[in-house]
Amino acid sequence: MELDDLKKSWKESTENIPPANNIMELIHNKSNGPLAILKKRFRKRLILLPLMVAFVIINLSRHHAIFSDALFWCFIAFCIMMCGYFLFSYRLMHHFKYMETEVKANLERQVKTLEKIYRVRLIIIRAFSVLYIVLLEVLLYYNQEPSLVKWYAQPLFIRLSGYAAVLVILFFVSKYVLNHKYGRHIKYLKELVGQMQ
Amino acid sequence: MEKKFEKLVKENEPLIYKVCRMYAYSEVSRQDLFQEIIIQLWRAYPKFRGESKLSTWLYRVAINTAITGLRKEKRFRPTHDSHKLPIHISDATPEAEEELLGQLYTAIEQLNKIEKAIVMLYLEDKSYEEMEDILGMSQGNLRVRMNRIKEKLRQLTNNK
Repeated sequence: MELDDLKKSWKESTENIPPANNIMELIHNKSNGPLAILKKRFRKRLILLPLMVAFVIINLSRHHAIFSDALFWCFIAFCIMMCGYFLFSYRLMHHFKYMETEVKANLERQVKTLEKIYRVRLIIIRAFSVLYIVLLEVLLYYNQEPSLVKWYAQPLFIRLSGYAAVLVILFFVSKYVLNHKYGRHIKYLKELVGQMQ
Repeated sequence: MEKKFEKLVKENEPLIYKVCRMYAYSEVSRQDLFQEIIIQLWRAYPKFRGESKLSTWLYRVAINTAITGLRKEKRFRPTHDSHKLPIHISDATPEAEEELLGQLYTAIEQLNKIEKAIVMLYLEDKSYEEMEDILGMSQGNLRVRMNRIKEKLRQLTNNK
């Protein structure tokens, strides 16, 4: 039996389309695909992050003088950066809105966009970790954090080892987490592109 | 616009459902995929200017949605169950032939997603030019791939 022998029965086939399919109802439903879910996730974080920051500010400001605390402002800068990242990613996801392009071009575009989202997030997390550590050390010479007096009392070698350990752990954890979130899907898309070469 | 779209979908429902049958293995998944394709078609519809053939546009959206727009399904287990075959085989088909067709359909189910798309367009008698428009692969590449797929299917059905 050859594939060509199947053509006739394929064309003659009458699909059993379920009668319940009301087209006009279906178009008003929300997409449930992985890309739509990702987009929804970015939107949710874009709303939740400022709320979380506001909650932290209100609660901390009752007990501490946080507005003169450099670490606090670094945290705020990180949150603003993350908000920017979620907005940037959310807007990038708009490219996935239309699926009418050639299959190969569509797959390549998705890979490119998701890789961009993945890379930017990795850069933000790592850059801010380094910045935070640098800031901790700089603060030692200017305005010692009361909560970090014990840490500053440690020898420089211990502190540097601690920072290095944190950076190494963060390097692997961020890679693992982001790989879990995007990496597998990117790999799957790349496999599809590979199948088209 | 909604009425026009509804008419378009109704006229091409068999095409969409064939894509669903090719890529989704359970009735629930097929319904999910069908809905997802309709949503994507509706989103893309305002941008459709008729620059490409309607069937080309429909296949692009349907295949793109089928391979990237649906959550991953549980690993496929090959089956001879005629209820799960991609299409309904005509009652007029003699039993022996039906058995062979069943084997061929099962073999098709084992192809990768891109190969399935190529096979589906081939079965629909699409020209290599139109297949190129839909998939974005060169005609030469498609011809080579088609020969390999035929050989692969031959081997898969002979191993049964």
